[in-house]
Amino acid sequence: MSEQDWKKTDAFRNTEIPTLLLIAVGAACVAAAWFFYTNRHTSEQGPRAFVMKPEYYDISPVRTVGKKLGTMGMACGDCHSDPTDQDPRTAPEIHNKVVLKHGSNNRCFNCHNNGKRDFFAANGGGQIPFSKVETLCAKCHGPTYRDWQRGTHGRRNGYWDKTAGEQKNLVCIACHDPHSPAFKPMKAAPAPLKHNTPGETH
Amino acid sequence: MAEEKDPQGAPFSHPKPYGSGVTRRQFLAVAAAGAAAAAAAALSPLRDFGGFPPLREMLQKHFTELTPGQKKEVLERIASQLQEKYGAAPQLTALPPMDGVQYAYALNIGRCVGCRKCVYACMKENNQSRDPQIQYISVLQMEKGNIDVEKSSIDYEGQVPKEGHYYMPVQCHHCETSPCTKVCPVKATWREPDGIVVVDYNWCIGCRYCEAACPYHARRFNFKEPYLPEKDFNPKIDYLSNRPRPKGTMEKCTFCLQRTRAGKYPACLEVCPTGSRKFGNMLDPDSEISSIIRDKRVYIFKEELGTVPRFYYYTDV
Ligand code: HEC
Ligand code: HEC
Ligand code: HEC
Ligand code: HEC
Repeated sequence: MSEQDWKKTDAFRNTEIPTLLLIAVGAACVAAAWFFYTNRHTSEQGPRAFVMKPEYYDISPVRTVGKKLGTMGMACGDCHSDPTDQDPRTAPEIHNKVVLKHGSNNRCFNCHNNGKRDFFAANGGGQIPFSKVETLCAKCHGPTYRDWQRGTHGRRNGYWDKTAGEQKNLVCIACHDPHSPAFKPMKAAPAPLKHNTPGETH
Repeated sequence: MAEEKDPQGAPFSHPKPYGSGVTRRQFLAVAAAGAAAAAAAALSPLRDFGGFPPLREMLQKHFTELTPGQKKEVLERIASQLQEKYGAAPQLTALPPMDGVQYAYALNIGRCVGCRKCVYACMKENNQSRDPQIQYISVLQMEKGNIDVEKSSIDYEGQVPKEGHYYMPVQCHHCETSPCTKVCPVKATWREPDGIVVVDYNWCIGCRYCEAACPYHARRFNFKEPYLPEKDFNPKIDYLSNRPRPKGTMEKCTFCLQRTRAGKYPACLEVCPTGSRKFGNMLDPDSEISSIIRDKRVYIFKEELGTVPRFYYYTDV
């Protein structure tokens, strides 16, 4: 390297590098600011394929419990004043919505009180009010009933900490149709969109 | 040093809440030592509510070290940023853990039908991004008699349960020896005294080590600006759980901390049509969770890893 070249480089080093650096840093700052600015509202663009539908997260149970039981707006006792000597396994035409599929529990009066139709049948002819339906189920499903009391079968809603608020325990027939108690199949909410699959993360 | 003081003039202490290690500031300093572009990238998680982050946000101490006064200030600042973005005024809390409470979750694997309502109740409650879609719960469809998750599928549709299958929802297991919190270089994720594993989204630098460390694939990364329509915004939020996350941060199930520390059940449990999901205080012998641990057949997913989860699978008998 000649002396001349040395000087050139030296001069370059002493003056022009700082200038260049300043320009470069300035340009980077402008670029960074532009980057920040333009990226602010990208969330408002592009197609929105996914829509949350309320039925995906609706907490109401699978079945609506008949609050006031009856047929054609009447109480059971309005038509049934006297006990019958029948104990049928199938419902008459007037109750044709009732289809009994409850295993070997296949007689109406295993559950309904023959003499007082506005009650369920307790053991030995006793009466269970409609509002205490779990006591009816408990007659034959002791272990499940105890689990339900402990909260390990069925569903509690509201507060786990009962000192902080109310806790509700869903009744058996909010999930099971008493006449055909097997849990019914249901439609699944949509599968996750592709990019969310665990396959992509491992 | 002049910049070692926080805006209120109190001495600034380096965040080393749990043992030593690289602080967030040192970590960022290394990242910023590169070019201006690298600095911009390192800062990017912080810039999301428009423009540069306020100086205060950058100087905030680790959440577990804030005084009540400083905490209040942080909450007010975040609440006003969110109000600007979502219109509605949020009810932002920082609920403390309760004394004498250790949370645990149990899922009846013989009862779940795979309807995925938990997945969407969780999204609704926890303000996850709709696009890109973020979900905390993955429901695995498994072949009956087979426990190999590699053979499971998550893309089933239509009527459930499908013949010959059972279902296994997976979410954060809130492990007692959590591998995810150990690998975090800046202590942005930790285990709370009540057993909930949390993430501070203001502290997270988005390195994704925790995601790689989690054997349950339970962590989700905001690799794009999260999109949440104003009408879907749940304004009942907590600092350590369901407040909206900025881009570049990690998130996951927090056992709905904003609900559970107020005594409520988590959202995924409230919605389950089969009643397969159980949650509560394992220190309370009368809780349903204690009863399950005592009387049911309990399974621990990937037990051999020694993660000691607070999330159990169980069956009757
Ligand atoms: C509108 C009148 C009406 C009402 C209200 C009514 N039933 Fe009936 N129910 C009938 C008739 C009619 C029969 C057939 C009786 C027969 O064949 O002798 C019947 C038959 C039955 C039977 C079969 C045993 C039997 O008596 O033959 C049962 C069980 C029964 N009803 C239960 C109920 C219950 C429980 C309610 C209330 C939830 C109710 N019914 C309300 C009209 C009624
Ligand atoms: C497992 C016990 C059980 C048996 C067996 C049973 N029922 Fe019922 N039944 C109930 C319960 C519980 C309800 C209340 C349902 C509700 O509140 O939604 C009910 C409701 C009714 C009602 C009024 C509501 C409705 O669904 O229309 C009628 C009518 C009725 N049962 C008729 C019958 C008849 C007829 C039979 C025999 C073929 C019968 N039940 C067998 C438990 C039983
Ligand atoms: C009189 C006895 C009796 C009463 C009362 C009774 N059950 Fe049952 N239940 C049975 C029997 C018997 C079976 C069949 C068991 C079997 O086949 O293995 C059964 C089966 C069931 C099943 C399983 C169904 C399936 O296909 O998987 C459910 C769920 C059920 N009952 C719910 C109820 C509910 C809810 C009530 C209260 C409304 C109730 N039971 C009241 C006797 C009873
Ligand atoms: C939150 C909904 C829910 C409630 C409430 C509920 N069950 Fe169930 N129950 C289920 C589901 C889901 C199954 C699984 C059924 C199936 O696979 O068909 C089941 C199964 C059963 C079975 C079959 C045996 C078993 O354990 O699989 C019986 C019997 C039963 N329930 C009785 C009851 C009784 C009695 C009550 C009230 C004391 C009750 N259930 C409350 C959802 C519920």
